[in-house]
Amino acid sequence: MRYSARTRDRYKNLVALLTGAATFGTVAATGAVTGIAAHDSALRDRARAEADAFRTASARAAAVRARQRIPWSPLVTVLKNRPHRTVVHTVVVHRVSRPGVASVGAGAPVSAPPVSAPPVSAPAYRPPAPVTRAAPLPRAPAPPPAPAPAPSSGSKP
Amino acid sequence: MSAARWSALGTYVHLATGDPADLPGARRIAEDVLAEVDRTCSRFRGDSDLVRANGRPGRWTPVDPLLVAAVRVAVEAAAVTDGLVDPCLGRALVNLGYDRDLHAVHRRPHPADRPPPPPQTGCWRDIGLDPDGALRVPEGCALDLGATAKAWAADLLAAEVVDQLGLHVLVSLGGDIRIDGPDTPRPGWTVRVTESPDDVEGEVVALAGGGLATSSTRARRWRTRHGVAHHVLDPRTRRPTDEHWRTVTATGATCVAANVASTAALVLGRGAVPWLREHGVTARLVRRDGHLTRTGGWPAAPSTGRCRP
Repeated sequence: MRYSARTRDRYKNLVALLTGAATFGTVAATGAVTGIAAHDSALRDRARAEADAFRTASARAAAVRARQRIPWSPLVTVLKNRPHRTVVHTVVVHRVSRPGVASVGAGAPVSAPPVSAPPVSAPAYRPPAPVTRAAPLPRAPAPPPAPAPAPSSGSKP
Repeated sequence: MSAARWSALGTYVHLATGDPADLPGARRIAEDVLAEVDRTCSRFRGDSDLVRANGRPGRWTPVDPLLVAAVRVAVEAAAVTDGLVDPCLGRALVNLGYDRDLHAVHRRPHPADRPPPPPQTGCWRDIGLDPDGALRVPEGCALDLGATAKAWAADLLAAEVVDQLGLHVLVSLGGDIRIDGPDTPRPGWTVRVTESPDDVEGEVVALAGGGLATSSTRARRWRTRHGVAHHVLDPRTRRPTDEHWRTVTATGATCVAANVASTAALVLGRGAVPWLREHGVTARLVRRDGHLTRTGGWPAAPSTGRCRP
């Protein structure tokens, strides 16, 4: 086989073609491997996130079930700060709560209510009135009606 | 004298002052005091301090000092009656179906009572009280202040009116009466004693001051699976009393003292009269059949010795 300028160029082109093909193949393979790895990583991240969300939801549901399982009372105790101040004066509270206020014993006297006097008395002897045409005396205003007694009964609502 | 009447604490309020001009101011104070007592001492309000403390038996609960004062009085009532007037009957009442306002109990289509809790006497001794505002309900108990809180509220209300306005006042909270005022001549107060607010009959008496309370098994009744129950429980059995007496009216230096005497008499039944006499209590008792008995200085009725059966 003769070596000439023509064959030299042919070999040169062939080597260039092979080098280019090898380079392209390497780059393509690297890209494919990298892509596959990235895809796998994304899948793993998504699975981990889903597992975390499931665990959180499970814990929340368990807490709700636990609250619903209290058997003896529907009340949920909530602690809160109360104001240490009332509308009633403290000195009054102390007075009506001091030791001895519940001691049974004699209270104030109980008596039959006084009988109201008739509004106008009628004397047994009335002197004859002078016969005049004087204007009649104004009548004294009627006494106010007696107040109704306060009720004390069984504490019917 | 003038009077106002309205509803609070699940019952009626009757407030009277010597001068009609004083009534609006006294009523304003009364409404404030009763709202405060309801907010702290009610067994039927989910946001009350008593309900919060009952929900944490065995543990200290921060509460309003007003509730601590009310419970302290209830504990003293238990002590002076050796447990006949017991604040630890909350669970027994709930098991009998009295677990909400009585109007709501009456609206129930079916009775809601359950077997009574096991007897547990003397647990009132284990109630923890911190005057600065904390309460510990004993383990296994729930407090009910029905036997003393209303009478204590009457004492409190009257004292507050006297403290702020300096006038004579009479208050009746569902039959628990307190008369209070400055140390000047007192107006003549009269009281009509009946078994129910609807009764037109009854006995009118004059009372100069202090407390007078009527407790009756004829009021606050509801249906259970085993018949009709009433709200006065015997702490020894945790069941409603046997109604040997159906109504007792008693007097005392305070309204709480009067109410403690009337409630203890209902619980004691046949033993009530000697107990009242031993303690020097002036009282009027109505037996189941309507027969009247009086102790101490209760005046004899001019007409009859019986009530309607």
